[in-house]
Amino acid sequence: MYRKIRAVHRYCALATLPFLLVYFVSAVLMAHRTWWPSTPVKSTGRVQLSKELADGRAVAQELMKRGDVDGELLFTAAGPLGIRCTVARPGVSAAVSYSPQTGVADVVTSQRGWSGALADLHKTAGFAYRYATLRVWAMAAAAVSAILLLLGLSGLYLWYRQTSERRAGLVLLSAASVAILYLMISMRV
Amino acid sequence: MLGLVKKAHTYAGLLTFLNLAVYGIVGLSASVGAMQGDAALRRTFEQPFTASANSSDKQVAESVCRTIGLTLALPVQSAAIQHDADGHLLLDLWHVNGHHRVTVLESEGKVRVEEFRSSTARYFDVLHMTTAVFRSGDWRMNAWAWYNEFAMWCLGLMMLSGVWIWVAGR
Repeated sequence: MYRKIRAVHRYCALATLPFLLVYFVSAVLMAHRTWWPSTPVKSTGRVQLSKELADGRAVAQELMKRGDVDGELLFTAAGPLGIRCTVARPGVSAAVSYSPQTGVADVVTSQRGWSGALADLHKTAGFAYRYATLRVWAMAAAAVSAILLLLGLSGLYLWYRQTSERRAGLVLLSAASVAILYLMISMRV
Repeated sequence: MLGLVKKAHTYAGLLTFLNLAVYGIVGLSASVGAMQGDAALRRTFEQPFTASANSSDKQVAESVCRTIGLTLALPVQSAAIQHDADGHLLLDLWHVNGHHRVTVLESEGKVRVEEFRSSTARYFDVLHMTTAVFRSGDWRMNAWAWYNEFAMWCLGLMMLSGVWIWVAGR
């Protein structure tokens, strides 16, 4: 049993290591933005599209077909000044303003580099993505989250079976758990 | 050396087991969409309150937080302080459990409070992203923030030590 659990712990950890590394690095980057200050690089462009496109989705689809933007349609709105939409992929987002009368689309692209890409990946979750990269990542994120819980539980088992570390470990685990549970429960009630 | 690395790996895991569980739960909750939706109105109540003379809006806001026991919303950001159409001080106080909308009725000597409570999934989400750069007026949130910062670095340590143990064992 011990060998099996140790193998599960080891291989689950190795399989999820690249993902956990992305989560760790992006968490540090987001928590300490001042350590690596970065300014998005913005560029603007004007594109002639078909006139009278129905909505933001149609605008985004035509832009994607032309290769002007790439990613997931995150936002769309229509108003008297035209249609607006935002298309994004990790690290890059494009804000589009489209005039149905003229067919002209103004595209402002914002590039946030690798740190922005990691931060975007960190926040990617759910199964509703149409953009393939994000859909695959989101599915992996769900699996990694479940595996993280499995790693914790299997790690507990492996520690408990080590008699030499049992007493010291029990003190650390109890002290940390009591403190954390007190904070979590007292702030919630 | 390997013994020391194994010890560090084990102790880091034991000390941050619950934090890692929170990260896992948040990841799963986000995947199934459990964090979507606004905080729900839980209750509305009124409480006696008298603002000190010559206090600024920010001082009144912080005094309101202490009066209604909402230290988790401290310090109050300027964006949270507004006035309604009748000129009453209107406070939108955001915190880990959702938000409180407070109207200060100075002439009546009371505050009217609407309490909006977020889901447990959203509560865990806010907890998981709270690290040492966050400053709260509540010691519990500051303690959590520092511990969560520690847990974040422990995750890095466990990855490094885990690879070390694996390589050394081959």
